[in-house]
Amino acid sequence: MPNVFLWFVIALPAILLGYGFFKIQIAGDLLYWTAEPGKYLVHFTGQWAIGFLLMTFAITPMRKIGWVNWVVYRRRLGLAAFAYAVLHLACYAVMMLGLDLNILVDDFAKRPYIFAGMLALAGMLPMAVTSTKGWQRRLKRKWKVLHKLMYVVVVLVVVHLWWQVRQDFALALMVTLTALLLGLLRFKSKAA
Amino acid sequence: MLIKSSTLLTEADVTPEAVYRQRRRFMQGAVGAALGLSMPAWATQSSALTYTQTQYGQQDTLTPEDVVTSYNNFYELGTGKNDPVKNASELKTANWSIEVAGHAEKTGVFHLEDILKQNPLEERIYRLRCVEAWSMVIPWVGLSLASMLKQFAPTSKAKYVKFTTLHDPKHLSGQRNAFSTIDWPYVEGLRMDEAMNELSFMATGLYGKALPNQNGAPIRLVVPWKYGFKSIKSIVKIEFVESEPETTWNKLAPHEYGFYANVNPTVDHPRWSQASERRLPTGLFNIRKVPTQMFNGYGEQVAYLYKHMDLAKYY
Repeated sequence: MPNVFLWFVIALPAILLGYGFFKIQIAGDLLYWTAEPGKYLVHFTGQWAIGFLLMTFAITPMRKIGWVNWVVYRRRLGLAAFAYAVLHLACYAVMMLGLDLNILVDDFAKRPYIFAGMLALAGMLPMAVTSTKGWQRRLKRKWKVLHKLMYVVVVLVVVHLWWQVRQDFALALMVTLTALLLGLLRFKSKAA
Repeated sequence: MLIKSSTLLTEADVTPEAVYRQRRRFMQGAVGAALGLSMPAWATQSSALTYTQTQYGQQDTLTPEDVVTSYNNFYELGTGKNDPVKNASELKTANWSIEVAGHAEKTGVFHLEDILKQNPLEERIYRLRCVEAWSMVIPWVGLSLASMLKQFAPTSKAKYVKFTTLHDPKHLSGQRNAFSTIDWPYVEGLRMDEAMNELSFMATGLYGKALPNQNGAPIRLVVPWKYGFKSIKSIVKIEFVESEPETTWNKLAPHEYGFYANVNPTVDHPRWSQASERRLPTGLFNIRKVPTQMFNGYGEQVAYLYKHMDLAKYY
């Protein structure tokens, strides 16, 4: 995959966000992101973060089944997942809560699905920080152990989704099945 | 403040039935043919309604009409907020009838126009508070639920009213959704005294025009002191029953959605606080947060109904 294509994929949600922003703030199409743009953005950023997360999980399976070896792109995809996850939290805190810290603390304590989401993000942080080659050199074998945290993150994300299901479980199911399939391919298929 | 022009109806305004029916057939045919749409039989060519004004909500700022008609929870037409307006044509409202059953003297299947012809319409501006913590102010047009139900003469055995929405999976894509756990058709209910309360309203229009499909055409309930999911849309059956009916959301998630569902800032939803709400439309950086009022601000008219009830228990 050429670098340009990778950067395009990572930038795509940002381009869509920028376009929406333009439509609302400048072109005056106030309902472009529905009457509750904050809620729309929380869902949008969350879904893209999950998308990138699953992409990082697909790298090893794709190599194992002998398709493509895109290991060099995994770091950037992982960082994109982290970036959009942070944006997801920011949108929630700013656009849904109006930066009311009391509610945020309440959410942490009383809402299990938010707590699971926060933990997932917290899990991604040390991996984002140690994503550079410098850190890889410094931690050596421990780097690989640390980055296995991703498996915990994926479970937390799946929990975060299922705990929000009110009656339509399509997204939660799709993400769970994809993660399971990738997990199966990663661990069960013949080593490349 | 948008105040629609009103007309006080008198006997002289009543159209002779034969002429009324002739016009309806012509309008339905002509407009239907021209637009390829199915329109409710009683709607006029422009679907503009004639109604009187009431004092409700005169101090509230109306939510813009395009917001009211494009941001809807009507899962029969899809679960996205703008799915109902996008899939509005899936709802077929022509020749609408309502089945009235249970403990009442007059039961049977009635054409909607026959039910409505006894009652002049009025406009009521009500606040609508969704359980999801967003809210709107909507100028509904319709008639009081009490005056509609009185036509059927419910007996003393009628303790609750049970409402049912259309079940039409052939046309309504949301009812064919394999990933939905909702047990169609949608059912809601009220205690008899709640139903007879002055505020309970059956809406057939909004913003002076016939109800758009996505808002629950051709007729829907509006109970402004309860969370929006109680205000059942596109009603096809009204049943007078003796015991509390099993309602759709309560059956689906009993710890989240109760039968009473009175707007109550002191009782949290398990997943979010109900102490405040976002008055739509919200901007990107302006969430228009409004503190939620007990009974959505209608305590004066409805608090008496719950005088001896623990509303934390009966949420």
